[in-house]
Amino acid sequence: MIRRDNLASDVLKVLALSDVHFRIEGKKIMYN
Amino acid sequence: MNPLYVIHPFRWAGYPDGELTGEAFFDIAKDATHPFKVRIGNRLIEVLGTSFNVQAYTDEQSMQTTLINGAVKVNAGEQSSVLAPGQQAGISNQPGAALKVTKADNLRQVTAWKDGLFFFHDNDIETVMRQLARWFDVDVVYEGKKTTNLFPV
Repeated sequence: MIRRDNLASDVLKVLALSDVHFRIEGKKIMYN
Repeated sequence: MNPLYVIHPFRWAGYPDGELTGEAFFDIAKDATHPFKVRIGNRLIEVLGTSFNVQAYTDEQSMQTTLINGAVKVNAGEQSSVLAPGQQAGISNQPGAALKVTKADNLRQVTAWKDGLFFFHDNDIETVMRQLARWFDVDVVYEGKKTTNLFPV
């Protein structure tokens, strides 16, 4: 479980896997 | 921050019915003389003294009502079903869809949001990212091939 009061960037770090990469650009989460 | 749910308009005086878009958890005492109802489109949830969760996001393909305890009656057009604790009534957003009642896979996952938590259990990347997009009020852009992994792995 992940606390919702984390920053989006911190939540994405938890979700990041070897084949999952995220970056945040303004109001967008870019997934590649 | 994007509010997780919007309820409008609750007519607390006289007719305590409500309309719901988003997600809400209800914990309602039994009161036969003042039945509580929630409308979601043409669907009507009749509360019989209970706690239950309703998920009705416009970016999801279906609406889910999950009963924690007590009883609720879910109406969808001509269809209706009284749920038992632990059961979930789901109906697609497509016109004429059938109301389906199943055992909820994981009640903790259903109610985690109200405790301020994300709870991912065998969710695909799009399901996870829809939750993040709603909560953080952002758009998600897929640039590459989506992983087939389920979260958490």
